[in-house]
Amino acid sequence: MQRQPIRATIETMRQNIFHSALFLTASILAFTLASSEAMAQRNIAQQYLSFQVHEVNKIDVSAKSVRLLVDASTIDLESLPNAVNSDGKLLWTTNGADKKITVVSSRVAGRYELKITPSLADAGSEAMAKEIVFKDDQPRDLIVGLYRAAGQCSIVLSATAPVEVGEGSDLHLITYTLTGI
Amino acid sequence: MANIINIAWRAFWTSIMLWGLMSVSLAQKGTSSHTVRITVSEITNVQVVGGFVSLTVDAASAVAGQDLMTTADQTTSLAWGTNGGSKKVTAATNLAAPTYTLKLLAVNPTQGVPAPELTLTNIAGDLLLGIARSMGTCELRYTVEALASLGTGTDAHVITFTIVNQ
Repeated sequence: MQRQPIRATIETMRQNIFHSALFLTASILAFTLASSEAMAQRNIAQQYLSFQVHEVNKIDVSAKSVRLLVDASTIDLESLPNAVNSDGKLLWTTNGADKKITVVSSRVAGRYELKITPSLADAGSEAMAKEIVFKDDQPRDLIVGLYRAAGQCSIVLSATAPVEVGEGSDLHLITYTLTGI
Repeated sequence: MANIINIAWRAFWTSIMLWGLMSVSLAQKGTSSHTVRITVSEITNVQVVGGFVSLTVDAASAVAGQDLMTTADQTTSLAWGTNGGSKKVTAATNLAAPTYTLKLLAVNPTQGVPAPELTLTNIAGDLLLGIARSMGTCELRYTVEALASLGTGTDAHVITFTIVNQ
């Protein structure tokens, strides 16, 4: 009768040893596989990158200072005394839709008429230009129909000085704005 | 019966101890040797230092009259180590058709030679060449090129760097 508990104890010990060995073997195998996988992935690295393009409306005018001189050399008896300057260029870049360029002078009422005429050689097929005579200080549409484009145009400024007005000078600060319709 | 088992266990462990002592005494009487083989496998490791990159194209990126607007980032770097010879680092993006162009250049590498500036696509391209057995770093310069004619928008990339045989 006493042999049965001994045999049961030995059997239990045998099973425990077997299970322990099996668990140890499985652990070693799993560790080895995991290590191999980790080693294989180390030759690759990843990085997250994002960028956003905001609406951009950029405008610039060259020839920051323009002088129109009406003198004896510009007098033509068949027309009013006048002076013309085409040195300036207007440049713009917009990635927005339905944009226009307005123009305004700081001078409310000049003695001499000042006219601006854009030449749209490089403005894009959709743009339209208007000739503007500065009569007050209100902004007016100069170029319309701009859509996701970069362009440029020549600015022709012309001043007319009727003889009855006499001599003198007008100073204008001309401001160009790229804006939505 | 329990006493018999106890006696048996004591005898067993005593035998073990005596055997151990004998082994030590035997060892003191001569020398023994064995061979040890060291095996080193090829190891390569690459990681990005600096994390997430965020870029913005705005008015500061534009020049009036130009369709192309650009912005750049050089705040992150790449670090690597390899005991294999003649390696290179490649880079690719996960985006198959990004709206805007993204370029990458390895700057100031401590090892290897930078490849020409890479326009990132979903096919791996060369970033850094001629990496010998070494550990090194390089700065990562990302440049975004956005055309005004493409309008506004966002691109999100996952850039994958891989060390491979050259």
